[in-house]
Amino acid sequence: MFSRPVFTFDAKGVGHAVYTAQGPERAYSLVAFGHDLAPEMRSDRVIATAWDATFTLFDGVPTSQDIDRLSKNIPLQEAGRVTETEISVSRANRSVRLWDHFVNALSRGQQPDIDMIEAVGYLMRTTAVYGSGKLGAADYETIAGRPEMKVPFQAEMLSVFLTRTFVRDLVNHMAHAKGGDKAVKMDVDIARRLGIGNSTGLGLAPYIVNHSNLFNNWIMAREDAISRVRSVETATPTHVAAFRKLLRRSEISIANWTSQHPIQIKKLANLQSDLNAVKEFVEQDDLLDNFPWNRLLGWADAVLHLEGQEMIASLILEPYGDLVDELAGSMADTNQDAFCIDGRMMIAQVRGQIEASFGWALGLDWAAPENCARVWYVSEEKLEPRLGERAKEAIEAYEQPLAPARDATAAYIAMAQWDDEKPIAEFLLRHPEHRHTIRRAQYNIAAPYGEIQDNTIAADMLPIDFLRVKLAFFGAIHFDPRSDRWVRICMFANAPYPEELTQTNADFWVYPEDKP
Amino acid sequence: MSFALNEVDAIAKKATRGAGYSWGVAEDAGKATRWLCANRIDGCRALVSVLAVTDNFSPAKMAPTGIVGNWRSDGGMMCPLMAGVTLSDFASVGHADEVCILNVVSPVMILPFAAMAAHRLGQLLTVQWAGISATTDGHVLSFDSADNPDFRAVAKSVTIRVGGQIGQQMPKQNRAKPEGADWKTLSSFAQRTYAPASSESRIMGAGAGLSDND
Repeated sequence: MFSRPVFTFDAKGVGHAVYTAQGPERAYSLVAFGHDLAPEMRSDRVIATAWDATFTLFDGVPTSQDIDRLSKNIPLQEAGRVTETEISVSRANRSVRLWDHFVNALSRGQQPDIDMIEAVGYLMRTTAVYGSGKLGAADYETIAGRPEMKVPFQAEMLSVFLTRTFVRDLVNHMAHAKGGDKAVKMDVDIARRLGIGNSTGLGLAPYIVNHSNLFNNWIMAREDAISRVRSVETATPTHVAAFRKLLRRSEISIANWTSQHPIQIKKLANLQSDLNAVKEFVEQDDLLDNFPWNRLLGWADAVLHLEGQEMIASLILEPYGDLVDELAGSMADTNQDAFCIDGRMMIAQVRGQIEASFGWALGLDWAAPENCARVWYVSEEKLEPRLGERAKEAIEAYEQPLAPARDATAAYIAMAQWDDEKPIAEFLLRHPEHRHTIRRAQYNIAAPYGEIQDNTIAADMLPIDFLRVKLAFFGAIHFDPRSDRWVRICMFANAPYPEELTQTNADFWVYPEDKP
Repeated sequence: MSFALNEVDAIAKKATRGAGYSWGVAEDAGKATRWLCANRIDGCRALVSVLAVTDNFSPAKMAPTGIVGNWRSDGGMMCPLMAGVTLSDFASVGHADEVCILNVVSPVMILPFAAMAAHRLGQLLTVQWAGISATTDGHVLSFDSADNPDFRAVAKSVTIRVGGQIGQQMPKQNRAKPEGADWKTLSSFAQRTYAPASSESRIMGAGAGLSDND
């Protein structure tokens, strides 16, 4: 059950609101603050200090004292403090292009232009969603035991889902404040097309390196799901019909996906041509017998670009919720003991694991400028994560340990001088500089998908690739790189709003129903 | 002010790295500081006490030279982080039922590593120094000096032996309440890991590309 117990805003959008999601055992509330932001202050970067709107997800239903306390801290974001009753802290900026158009059109009694909506996709974009203890919020561990929070990032996703509702309500409110009786509310169909944007930079990239167990679990859940569906020997006509329907609906989503970035433009062209090839294939194949999904993926592997292959791999899962949905429960990282190094393990086993995880890297010339060109570092300027050029900037002293392949190679070479039968504890006593690498190698024994199979400091490395894989797990659509190191995406477009949500419309909304 | 344990972990890791330790040891320091705080011992004070002493020395000079006999360091004083990781690494190697470490700075910092060792061994470990005693099974801790631990003392010797009894358990907590001055000290160590701001870094390091205000 959802409710909106508080909504108090002036004509400029300054005020606050509370949206509460009441579950069987607990409630969670999005507390939203609206601000009148000077246009020159608007930036998606971490270094921004003011935003159009700021939010927290509150654990329960906040009292007026809570809201008073939060009103002094949430608008400051990193410069404020929260407590264990807050689960996430986030902020959002308006899409300038779309916001003014919406307010003006609605205030005059007109509905906004659909073409403009499709071009942008959202009225506000979040520019950071902090969780798990950041700024004093509750640690993930304190909510991880709740069934509704078992799947990673559920709290943050709920916060973003409710933020989309707040944005719709605020734009309606501001249009009414401007137009008075002439103003109309946004059409339900138009509102549903709107997602919530997100602008993401380098902060996400280290995350998947630093949480290799967690990331492994995500990839493993997907691989397991694909494997289960590939193992289906005979598909029912119902399952095949569901697949065909969603394939048609994904055409609409792909048609609406645009980017100005040359790399992404090429990928989108590849995806479009892949889609055409898939349509031809499934016209000639009834997909019923002889392991149809395995055949389809086998064909895709041989013929399609990576874009098309991954699209098909995701699409075949959709008809088989009963087969794959339970895997979401395996995505959290519950293996806390893995941190503690097993000093007894023989050096030979650790070296063997490094060969398994980083075989491709061991022969690379890590001194070659193109192989170690980049440095991941954190700037003292609001602690913004950044990427620099090793040869051109004096930043090596500040390098973060985000080149696991290079470090694994160094440890591997150092261990070559040692007796294979010795316990790794003896090596670590002499080589504390390899400690983080040995820990990782031991993690990887149980986490075969934990390592990115590429060089994270290469001259041609693209940070946007890191961002894409993580955002994809959040259900991001319309991935739109704005440079090689920051992107915009959209979430929850076409999703039902809280008051519309039912068991029957809770799934498949990510595939739009019809063409505009 | 109350802090999330993840914040403690993060600042402790960065501070330890900033004080010149390897990333791997810094990771352990983060978890160790967090473990102390979760067991109602002021982990931030303990880490500040360690780093204040070790900052002028190379970690290698304050690490055990070996694990045969009493553990000593080349430099005389023993860093509890370097001794601690060695203790936990060698726990399951089964080299000794009792370990004696000499001249340990801020010995309370040995406790989380003893806990890791106890967890790996699946046995109780008892840590003693200067008439103080603590016992852990890896998860819970009994500590007879919990109310007033002398974080700054250098223990002439710390012994860790298999066995003991867990008496009154330290209650767990999921927040930390460090002193403001200690947090500030850890932050200033952590600061050393951040690159100074420059306009080139500001433009090229994270942004560039298309407008972010449209």
